[in-house]
Amino acid sequence: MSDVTFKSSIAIAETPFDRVADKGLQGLLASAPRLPGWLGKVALGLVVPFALLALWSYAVHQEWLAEQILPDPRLVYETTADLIATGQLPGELLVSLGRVAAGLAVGGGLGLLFGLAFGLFRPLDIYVAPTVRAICLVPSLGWLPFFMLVFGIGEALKIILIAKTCFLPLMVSAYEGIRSRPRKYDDVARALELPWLARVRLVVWPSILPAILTGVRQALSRGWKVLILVEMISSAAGLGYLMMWGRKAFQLDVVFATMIVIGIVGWALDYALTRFQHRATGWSFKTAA
Amino acid sequence: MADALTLSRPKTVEVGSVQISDVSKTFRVEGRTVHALDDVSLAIASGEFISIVGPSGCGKSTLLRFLAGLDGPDSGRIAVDGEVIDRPSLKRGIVFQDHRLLPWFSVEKNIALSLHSLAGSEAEKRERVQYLIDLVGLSGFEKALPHELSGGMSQRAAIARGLAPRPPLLLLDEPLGALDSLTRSYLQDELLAIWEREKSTVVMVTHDVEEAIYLSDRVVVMEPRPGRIAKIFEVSGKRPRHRDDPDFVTIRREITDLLAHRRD
Repeated sequence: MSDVTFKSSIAIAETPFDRVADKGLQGLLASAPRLPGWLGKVALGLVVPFALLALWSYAVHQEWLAEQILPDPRLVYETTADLIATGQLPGELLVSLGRVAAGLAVGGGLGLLFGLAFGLFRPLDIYVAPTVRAICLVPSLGWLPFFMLVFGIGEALKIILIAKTCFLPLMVSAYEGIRSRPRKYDDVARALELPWLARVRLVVWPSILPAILTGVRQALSRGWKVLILVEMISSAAGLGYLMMWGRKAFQLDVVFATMIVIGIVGWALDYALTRFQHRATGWSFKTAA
Repeated sequence: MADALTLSRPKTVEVGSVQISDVSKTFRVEGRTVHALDDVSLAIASGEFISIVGPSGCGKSTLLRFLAGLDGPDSGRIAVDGEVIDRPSLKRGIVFQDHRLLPWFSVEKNIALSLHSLAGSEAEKRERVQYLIDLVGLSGFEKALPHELSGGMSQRAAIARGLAPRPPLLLLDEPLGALDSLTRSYLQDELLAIWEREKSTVVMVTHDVEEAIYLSDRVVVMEPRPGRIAKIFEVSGKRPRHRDDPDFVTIRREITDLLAHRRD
């Protein structure tokens, strides 16, 4: 909102586009009850989930599917509450989050380094990058049989597969960030006699940070998905394991509870990162560089 | 406000004089050779306000980039106070047409960036930055990001950034070119006031003949293909000048006639 205040204090040649746009949004929200802004947003965001829940209840009530296949939402709710109360769900969730964090740190970090290297050094880009990209484009599941034989089915396998998944988004975004960064600021850096380190830290890095954060978001959401897959294939802990266990025991309520948790946590992670991105590189959403 | 200078610079010697001798530059464009500058020579005295006007392709911006040290000529010599320019320096401040403020830094930090490589305590630098913000009339916008500013305000911040290291020579590349006429004439007066206060040499490239006459001691008219100096006009008369003064009108007609003539 602060930018609107800034702009309105300028008398000369000011186009009120922002305020028009604001009104448009507010007009849409006006139909919702008078609530603080964020609360209204939350309420609007919950409309579709509740509609789905209603549909689900209706489907169960009408017995569209067998009870064993589509469990009652109330049962799923009780199961979820149960799993949380016994500490099993939080435990599995922590295991999964730990794996994703490790995989993202290793794979994302390497991807960032490779992307920066390819973006900065032309020979590397020409000799090495095509191979690396091709290797990455073989899906994680394609690598699984080989990885299983080499690394076994322990913890290393999971983290390596997540790392492999997180590698490409960060490599590509760092590379593209370097390649497409606005060169006009280099003149500024030179004219201001900035030493090499200051140039990288103050001019180059901030200009590619938006691309990198977008890469982190992609890496995280892909890593999250592949984690569940890996845990379903070989694991004795984690959300994917819990889901697999539910399937084998033919307890679809556990499966559904896990699905919902996976979805909500995945969304929350992405949302938190998006918020962070807006905070850290808010300028990039408003500047046509 | 004028006496609020904090980083004092004793002005014992005249600085900011420029000697351009026999400067040439060719570019290869689609296999053809373009003479951007052909044997250009010009001497600029310390404290002078010089404008360079001319049609696009006359090499005026190229010349300014040479003065900044961002590029170099094929042959010839450019020296400031007898020192040949071989790279950019904080002794030569440059303001670009598209303000080029770093979009991720606030006004304050953008201006402070030009003091990054200078000696001096943080407190001194902060004071200098605040002085410049006041000088260009951006008080209250210290923390604003460039996208929150209007075009005129951005350009003022860019001018403040150019002035911050107290360069004896200030290079302006169409600094007001992208602004509406109201903001523009307002900033012209501010520019004059700043120049009179800072006593630096100013070389300004512009498209606007009137602006050039209004501000400068001398107006250099350049012609394209090859890029050369066509004629140099001395502008006499005390500032502030009036655009409907007979002298002003005469010199403006002479320059526009010359430009129109050269275009055919």
